Amino acid sequence: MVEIEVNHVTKRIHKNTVLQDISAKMHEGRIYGLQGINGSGKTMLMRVIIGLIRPTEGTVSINGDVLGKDIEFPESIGFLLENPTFLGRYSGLENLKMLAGIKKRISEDKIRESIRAVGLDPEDRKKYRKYSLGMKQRLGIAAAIMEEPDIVVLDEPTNALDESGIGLVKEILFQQKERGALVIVSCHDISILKEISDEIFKLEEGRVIDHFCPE
Amino acid sequence: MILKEMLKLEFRKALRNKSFYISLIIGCIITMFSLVYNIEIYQNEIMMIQGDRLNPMYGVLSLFNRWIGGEPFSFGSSAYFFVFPLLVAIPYGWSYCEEKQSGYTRLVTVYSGKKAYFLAKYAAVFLSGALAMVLPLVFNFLVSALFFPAVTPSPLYCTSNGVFYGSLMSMLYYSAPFLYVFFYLCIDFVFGGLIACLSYSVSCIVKYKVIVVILPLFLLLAFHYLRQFIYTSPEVHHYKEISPLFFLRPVQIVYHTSWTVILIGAAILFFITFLSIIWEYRHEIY
Repeated sequence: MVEIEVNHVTKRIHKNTVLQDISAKMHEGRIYGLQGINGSGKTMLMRVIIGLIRPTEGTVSINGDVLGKDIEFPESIGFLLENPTFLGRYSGLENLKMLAGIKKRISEDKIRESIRAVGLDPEDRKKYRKYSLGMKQRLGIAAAIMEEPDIVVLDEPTNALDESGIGLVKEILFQQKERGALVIVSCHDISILKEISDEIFKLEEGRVIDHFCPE
Repeated sequence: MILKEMLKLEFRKALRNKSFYISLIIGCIITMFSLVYNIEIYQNEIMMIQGDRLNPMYGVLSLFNRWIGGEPFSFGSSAYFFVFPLLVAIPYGWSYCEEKQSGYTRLVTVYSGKKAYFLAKYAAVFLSGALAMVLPLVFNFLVSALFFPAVTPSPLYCTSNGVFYGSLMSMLYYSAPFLYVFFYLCIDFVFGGLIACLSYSVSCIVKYKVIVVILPLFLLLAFHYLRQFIYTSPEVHHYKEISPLFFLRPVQIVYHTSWTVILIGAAILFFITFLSIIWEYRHEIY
């Protein structure tokens, strides 16, 4: 069981308020969409939920544990923030093996399976720096889901993807939801967001201005 | 457990990368210049001995004053101990800069925790720099040993040896020279690692990899230049070598150094680098 509670979170950076009094409750087995234009605070809210950024006011708790106080980062989380970032001198498989080697929760077969799931070839020895934007995006998604984390956070996962890639992302998101993960996803395309999300938070200038369940 | 895995990961990234090998190859090539020069000198000396069987300078010929660390004259020796701050930063000193700018740091820290990431990175940068400093010297020492006799140097020729009565560990040099070389390599190992960590520290505030790699060299050069004002000060009566560009050479270049200078130098470098990493650790990762 996973529950995220965002409790009156405000974040100020050099006198700029980038998040303002945001509260939300999120549960496992659901997909939460973050909608908003560039600079509305979607990515910043994701960073706060991941634990990379500490709120100036308010708290984020994962199953009751306050981030930055009881725990540094969520125990089981996979994420893709903005652009995927791996080491250019290694192949996709090598990059994921290095990441997975830190916690040693999954086997190499599972890593290969994740790479296949996003439509890439795990045997491809091409260095990451030679990947196309779409391939980089797919590898980023593979990294986010490979350990089957309780929380999956994907920031603009459809960026740089073609139609088939977008279809694949939707399929992956539904798979994550089915296995019981709590999924948070942001997307510029409101139609995609409505199609995949159980609940949508609409952000504007760092505030949640609307919270609704799409039909 | 995670720290152990992070150390393994970082050591692998640091020691199995092209930059590390390039640095070692450049270092070894530079040391070869010293070897070629010294072989020429040695052949000349041999010819003199063959021409005069009673050559009184026979005791001058020794591995310990012919390897790159034992002679201050050759181009190879001067070049190596001039560019070593660059050689130690090339292998992995730039890695935090690269990972921070690309966003890889935020990906890894969520998996490993910030403490494990920053500590493992520090250890890996230290080790890569230390090895990049010492391995070419060891290579040169071993290859030199194929050509020059490992005769214990005679204090009678201290002016040729470059190790004088007041020089650091001079007693050891003239009694157990292998130990002398070993201890100097240890000193160079520590300083090579710490100077590489300067690059890591600089990465906290500088965005460009090239600057991160070359800055330690320029910092040491600036310190080397500024130290002359200490020596010319009328307040200073006891001269000690305080520039790492000179005191890391196993022969005395201008002034002799002391353990106090070496320990204080190492402590200052350690505190500067480690505190800057703690400062960085306390910052948020964007």
